[in-house]
Amino acid sequence: MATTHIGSTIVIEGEIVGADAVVVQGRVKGSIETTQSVVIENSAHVEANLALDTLEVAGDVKGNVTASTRVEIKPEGKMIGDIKSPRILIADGAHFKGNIDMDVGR
Amino acid sequence: MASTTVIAAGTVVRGHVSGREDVQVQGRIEGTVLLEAGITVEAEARVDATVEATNVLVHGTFVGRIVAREGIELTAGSRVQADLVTPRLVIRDGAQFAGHIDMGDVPALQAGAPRAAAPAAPAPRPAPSAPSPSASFPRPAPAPAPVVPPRPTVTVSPPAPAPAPAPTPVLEADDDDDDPELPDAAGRKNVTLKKKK
Repeated sequence: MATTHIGSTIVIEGEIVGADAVVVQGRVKGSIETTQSVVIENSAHVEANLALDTLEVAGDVKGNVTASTRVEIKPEGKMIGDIKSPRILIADGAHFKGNIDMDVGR
Repeated sequence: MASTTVIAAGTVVRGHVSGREDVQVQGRIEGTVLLEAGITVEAEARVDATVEATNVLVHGTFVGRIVAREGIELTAGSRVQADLVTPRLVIRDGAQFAGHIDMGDVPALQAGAPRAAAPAAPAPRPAPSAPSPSASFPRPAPAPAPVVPPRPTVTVSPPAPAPAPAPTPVLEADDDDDDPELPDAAGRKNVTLKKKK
């Protein structure tokens, strides 16, 4: 599968929908919905509701996440919002504020 | 900046996209795109949008409006229904296009040269104005050239002292009554006559 790549200077206000992996280095305001993985890189600012398979957060995320497999917040990641995912990893140093629900897949 | 933003084939972006780096669309964009860089719409891609960018290259399907600061190219196989505003435009054989095109001021349109001098958008406009006159001058020049230079250069040398202007009119009146209005031509004729004499 190809990867949708949102570069560091790019700002998207709206929705990203698809069946590709998504890598965000820039800004997204709205929503991201994919059947694949989403990576929010260090330089990224995402203010969006996310629905995806796996999420990796190394940047700033504000919004609610629904993952079918896994959510991981890296040491440099900052997240405000609710997470629904069967597996959740929060690394030492990560910032998180919100509710966590790990019952989704059952 | 170095990276290129890619909207992959299975992805749809709806809304407003802006930025300062090239964007390659393999999937779909619906909305508006504002870039200080180029955008490429790949063959299988579809864009329904108002796009403003430096350069726009369309291989696929585009519906909407394109404002390009430098140029637009529609390649073979592209399908475009849009209004185009751009100083430079290429529509390749095999492209399908419907819409309005605005390439700016008339001077920019008159010059065929600017497209050859493609490097920069701002450059072509001043450039064409300069080359076009230079191009236009040579054309009229050759016509009079055969008449004037050849004979004078060869024949004038003897009568070079050029008392010609003053006396010639008199001689003209005598020899050539039909051409009083053409002192130069008459002068040459006189010159040649003098030679013959």
